[in-house]
Amino acid sequence: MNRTQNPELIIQKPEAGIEGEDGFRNYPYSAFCALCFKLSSILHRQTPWASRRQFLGRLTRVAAVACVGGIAMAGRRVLRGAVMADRPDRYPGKVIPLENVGTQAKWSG
Amino acid sequence: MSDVQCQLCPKECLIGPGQAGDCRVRINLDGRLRSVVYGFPCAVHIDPVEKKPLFHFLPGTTILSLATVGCNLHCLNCQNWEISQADPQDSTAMACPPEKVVALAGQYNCPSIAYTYTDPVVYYEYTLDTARLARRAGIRSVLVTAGYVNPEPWQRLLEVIDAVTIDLKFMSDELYQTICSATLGPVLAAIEAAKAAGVWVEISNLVIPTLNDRPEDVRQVARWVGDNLGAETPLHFLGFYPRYKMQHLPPASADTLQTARDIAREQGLKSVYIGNVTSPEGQNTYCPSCARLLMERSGFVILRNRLKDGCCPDCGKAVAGVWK
Repeated sequence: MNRTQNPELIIQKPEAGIEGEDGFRNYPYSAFCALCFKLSSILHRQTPWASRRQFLGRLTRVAAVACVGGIAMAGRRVLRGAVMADRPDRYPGKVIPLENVGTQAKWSG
Repeated sequence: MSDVQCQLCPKECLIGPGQAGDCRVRINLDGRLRSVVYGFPCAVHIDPVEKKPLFHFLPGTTILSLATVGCNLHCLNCQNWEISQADPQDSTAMACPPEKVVALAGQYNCPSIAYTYTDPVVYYEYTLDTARLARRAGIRSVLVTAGYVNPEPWQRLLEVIDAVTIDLKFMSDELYQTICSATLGPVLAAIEAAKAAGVWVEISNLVIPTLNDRPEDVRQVARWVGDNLGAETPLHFLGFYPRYKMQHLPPASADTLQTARDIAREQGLKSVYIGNVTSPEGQNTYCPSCARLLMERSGFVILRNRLKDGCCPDCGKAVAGVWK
């Protein structure tokens, strides 16, 4: 097994201080990006050939799965299907008295 | 608050809180689907039943006709776009609950009520409740629709409907999508369901120059009607007039419509009519058996009606329709 195929070399513990030093602790998205960047840098240093690409490929796949799963769960949580609608409390436009009922409509149909 | 998916028509709009569906009138309020036009028609009139068009359903009678704003289609050639494409908040309406509609029909001696002008699918609950009340009062109900509706609600509505005029706009799914923002399949399914439910069905087809006026277009419509609904189903070819977002096309000529009628008759259809242009022959009803004149019309007026109990007085053949 060469270096690029060894998962232990790819999944490294990040260096300490990523969250604290650069003030990303309260910004999960930025912290996540920083973490990815650090990991990528580390991997690149330790495996200068294909490991970085491999890592980014895996990262992309995991992120895609997480996104799809998250969207599906969110959709399932909020979606309600309905055929029959309730009556309104009031008409949103202007309401006028019945008029011109006895006349033929100018509308088609 | 949650999203709501309206499952009334094939668009199945996913409606966010405070938002409206594609039809503009079905709104998600507090996580519940609401039809904001229920009981608030924008138009209530007395029309001749022939105007729907319905030529084989209680001919010569008047029909109380109503509509609310909104439509689930957005046809570029819509003749009634001022109301079909209007937002409820920008429109005026009249308070007319189902009980009042039925009372008006009685007051004006109308044997039937039409849900028309826009599309009754979008004011589904209003139509359903009014038609139920009307049936109890002995008044018939008529839908004038594009038939773009899901099977389950359609079936439920058909139980209280006596006749439908369905606008079969094209036999091309692509044209349905580009011109009407709809699809063909659900429309065909709705027409077949109406026929199967025992509701009286008449088909209209707007002939639009350069879009669906070729002989093969007309032949496709006629063949589908003959094969799926029967040769005695009335088919109305209506002349296009430039309106809304399709003002660059010319109106359909009387010759084009006459040709369409001839083609449909060649396909075996017995009751083919022409509308929106002057054509005495194209507006009359002839016996499907002996071809003698049965009903002579001028516009929406019946000049002569020779039918005897729904039969031809000359050969005795029963003519398909609802005559009383």
